[in-house]
Amino acid sequence: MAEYIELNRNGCLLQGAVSVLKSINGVVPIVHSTAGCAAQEKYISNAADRYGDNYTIACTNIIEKQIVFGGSSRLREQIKNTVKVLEGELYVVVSGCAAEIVGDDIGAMTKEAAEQGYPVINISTPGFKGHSFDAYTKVARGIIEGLEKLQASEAAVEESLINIFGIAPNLDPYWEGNLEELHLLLEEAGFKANPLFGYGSSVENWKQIRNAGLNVAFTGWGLEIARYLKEKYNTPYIYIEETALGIEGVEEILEKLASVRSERQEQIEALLQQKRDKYLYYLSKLAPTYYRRHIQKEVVVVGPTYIAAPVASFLENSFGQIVKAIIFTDKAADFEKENISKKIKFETFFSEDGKRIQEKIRELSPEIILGSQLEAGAAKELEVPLLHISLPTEGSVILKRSLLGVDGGLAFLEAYSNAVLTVE
Amino acid sequence: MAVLRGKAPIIREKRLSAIGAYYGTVEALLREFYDGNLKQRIRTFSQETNSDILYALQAINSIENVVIIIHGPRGCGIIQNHYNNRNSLATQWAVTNIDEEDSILGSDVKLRKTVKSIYTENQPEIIFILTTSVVAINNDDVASVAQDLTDELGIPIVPIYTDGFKSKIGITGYDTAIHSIVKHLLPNRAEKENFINVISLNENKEGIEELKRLLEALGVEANVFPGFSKYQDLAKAGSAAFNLVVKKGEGDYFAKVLKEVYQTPEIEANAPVGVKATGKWLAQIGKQLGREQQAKELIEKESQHAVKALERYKVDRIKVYLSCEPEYANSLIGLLEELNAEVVGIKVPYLDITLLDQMEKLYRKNPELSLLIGEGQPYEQINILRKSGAEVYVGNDQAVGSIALEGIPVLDIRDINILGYKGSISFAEKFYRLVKYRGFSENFNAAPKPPVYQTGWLKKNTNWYIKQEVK
Repeated sequence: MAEYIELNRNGCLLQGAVSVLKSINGVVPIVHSTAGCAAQEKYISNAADRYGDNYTIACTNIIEKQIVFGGSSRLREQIKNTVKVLEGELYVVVSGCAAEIVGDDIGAMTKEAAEQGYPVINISTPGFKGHSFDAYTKVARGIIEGLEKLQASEAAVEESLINIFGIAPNLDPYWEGNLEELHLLLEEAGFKANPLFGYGSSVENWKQIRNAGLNVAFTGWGLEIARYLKEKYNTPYIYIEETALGIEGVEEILEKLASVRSERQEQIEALLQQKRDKYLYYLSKLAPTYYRRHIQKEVVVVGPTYIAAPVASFLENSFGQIVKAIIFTDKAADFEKENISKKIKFETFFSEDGKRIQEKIRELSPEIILGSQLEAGAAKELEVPLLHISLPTEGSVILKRSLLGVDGGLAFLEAYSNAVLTVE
Repeated sequence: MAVLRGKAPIIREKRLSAIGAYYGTVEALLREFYDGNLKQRIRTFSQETNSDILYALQAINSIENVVIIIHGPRGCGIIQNHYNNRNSLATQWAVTNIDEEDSILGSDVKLRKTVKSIYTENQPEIIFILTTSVVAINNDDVASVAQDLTDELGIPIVPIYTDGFKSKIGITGYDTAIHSIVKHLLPNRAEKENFINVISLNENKEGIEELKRLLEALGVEANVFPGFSKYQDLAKAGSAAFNLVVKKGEGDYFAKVLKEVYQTPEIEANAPVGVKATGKWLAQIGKQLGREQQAKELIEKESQHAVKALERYKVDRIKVYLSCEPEYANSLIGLLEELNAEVVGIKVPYLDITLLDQMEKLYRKNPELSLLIGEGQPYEQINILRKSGAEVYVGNDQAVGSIALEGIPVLDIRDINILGYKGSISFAEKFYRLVKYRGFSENFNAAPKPPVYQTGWLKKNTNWYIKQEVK
C-alpha cells in the first residue's frame, strides 16, 4: 500500500504521458478521462508551455452516463472529430482512471480509426497504475511500436544519425535546453542529431529512429529504450548513466562517442580541446569574484535522481561547494535507494513528501537551496536563496536555458553565483 | 435542514438548468430559457476543462489552519501547488495516493490512516476530504471514516463529495463544498448579530481587501468567507443580519442554504466592477442597511477620483473580445465602453437561472451580441476570434496562451483585482498599456508553424461540434 503524500510534486502516469506527448511536434494527445485530469497536468511541468499547449489538449471529459454505460462511443466520437479539428500526424489516445476502471475498449476504438486510415494509436496510462516518471519509457515505446504498424517503408540505416533518449520532456525544467545543447554537440562532432522531443522534433523523426547508426542513452529510461532498440533494430548504443554538468559531461560524451567511432577520433579530440579552452576562458572571469566574495556555500540539493545527483557532484567537484545533503524526490524502490546511496558520497534522503522535505531542509540549515518552488517556504524561513533546478518551477521563466555542455554549465554557475551574491 | 439532506447538492444542470455549451445570440438563448425549451447541449469534440474538484478546492483552500486531503490517485489535486503559489498560501494538502491495489481492495483503511496521521502531525482545526472519480466509482466508504474520526479526534472531518463526472459544469464543485461546509461546520441555530456575511468563493486577496475597505467606509462590519477566512468566521455565519454574495452565480447556493437554515435575508447587488456598478453596489447595500446618506457621500467622493483616473486611460476606438464570469459581463462591458472600447463578442464559462437578470441586461443592450458558453475550449475561441475582428482580448480564460498566438494582445484578469474603485482603475491602466504598447503581441502576427488548428475547422461554423444531448 503506497503511503499518502503531503504537498505532492509528482504527477500520475496519465499526466506524465501528456507531458511527454505534448513535447513532440505533430503528436496530438487525446485524453480519455474525466475533466480535471489533463487540466492539472501543466502543474507538474513548467508553467511556461510550448505554444498552443495551454488548455488545447483534446479530452473526452467523460460524464456520469459514460461511466455507467461505458465511454467507448464517446471516445469514438472524440477521435473522429479530433482528426478534423487539430493538426497532427499522429494521434495518441491515453486513458485515465475512470475510463480504465469501467473497462472501455480503448484499443478497439483506436483500431477502428486506424482502419479508416487515420494515424491513431493508444497507450494505457491510468493514474492509479503509475507515476509520471514511468511515462517516458511507456510513451516512447508506445509510439515506436505504434508507428511500426503504420509505416510501410524499408529501414535504411544512416551511420551518422543519432537518437538521444533519456532526457525526459517536462519532467525536468531544463529538458529542452539540455536536449538542444546535446544536439549541437553531436553536430559539432560531425554527427547528425535526430530531434525527437521539443524544437525541431517531428513524427517523421520518430519514423527515422530505426535508421539511426547509434543511440545515446542517458539515465535508466534512456538505457531501457536503447536496449529495446538494440534488440529490435540491432542499433548499437552508448550509455551515460549520469549526465554530468560542465566540461566533465562534455568530456564523457565525446570520449564515449570516440570509442565507438574510431574514424572520428581526431576530430572529436580537437573539438574536446576547443571546448576545454572555451570553458576555462569564461570560467576564469568568475575567479576574482569567487575568491573575493567567498562563493563557497553549504548547499542542499532537492530533486529527482537524474537532476539532483549530477548537480550535487558538479557543485562540489567542480565548484568547491559543500553539499550537505541531497534529497531525492522521485520514486525509487528500496534496493535502488541503497544502490544510489552507496554510489553517492553525500548524505542522501528520499522523499516525495513536501512537508518532510521541508523539515529535513530546516534541520540541515544550508546557506543555499537548490530545488523547486515547493522549497520556497524553507528558503524564506532560513532566509537563504533558492535556485530552481527541479519541477515544479511556476513563477520562473525557463525557455531554453540548459544545465549541460559548456554554455549550460557556465550559465548555471552564473545563476548560482548571482543567487548567492544577491542575498549577501 | 432539509436542504442539507444528501451527501451533495443536486447538480446544477438539474437544479438550476445550468448549461455549459452554446454558441449564438443572447436573444436566442433567452428565448429558450423563457419558452421552457432550454436545450442541454454537449460537445462532440472537446478540449480539457476544469472539474468540480478544482472548484471545490478553490472554495476551501484559503481557509486558515486546515488540511485538505485529496482522496485519489497521486496526480489528483496537484493543482493545489499552483493555487498556493498564486495566492501566496501555505495551505497544507495531501493526496492519499490510491494505487492499483487500493482501487481493487478499497481505500477506506488508507483514508483513515491518512486522516489520523495528518491530524497528529499538523493539529489543524478542520480536515477536508475531497473525493475523486476512483473513489466515487468504487463507492468507497468515506462517510463513516469522516464520522468516526470526527468523534475520535474531536475536530470536524468534513467530506466533500466531488467526483469529476456527475456534472458537466465544473462550478458545481462550489456548491458541493458549500453544502459540506454548512452541514459540518455551522451550528444549527444562531443568535442574530449586527454584521453582514460577504460570500467570496474565488476573489483574490486584493479584491477582498478593496471590498472590505468600501464596506468599512460605509460603517458596515463584514464577515468574509470562505475565501481567506478562519473557522470562527464560518462558524458565526448564521448570526449575520444579511448575506451579500460577491458573484451571484458562484455563491448563490451559500446564500440559499443560509437563508433556509437561519432565515438570513440577502442583499441583491451585482458585482462591483467599474465606477457605475461599484456605485450601484454601495447604494444597494446602503439602502438595505439604512445607510443611504453614508453611501451617497462615499460614492461621490470615490467616484470623482475614479472617473478622473479613468479619463487618463481612454484609448482610441478599439474592438475587444471579452471572456469573463457571467456576473462581470455587463459591468465589464460598461467599463470597457467608458474606455472607448467596443465589445464584439463575449464568452462565459456557464449560465443558469441565477444569472437570468444579467442576461436580460445584456440583451437589452445588444440582443445580437455573439455569446459563447464554455470553459477552456480554445478551438472554439480561435474560430470566433478569426471572424470577429477583435483587436484585443480581455479575459479570465484558460486559453490565454492559445489566443496570444493569434497576435492578439491579452489582458489576463485571472490574477488581478478588478473589484471596486481601485480595481477599476488598475484594470483601466493595464488595458491602456496593453493597447498602446503592442511590441510583444506583434511578434505573433506570423502564424505558428505547424498550425495548431486545421483550416477546415477554422472556416466552419463555431457551433459545429456542439450538439443537442440525446436523453
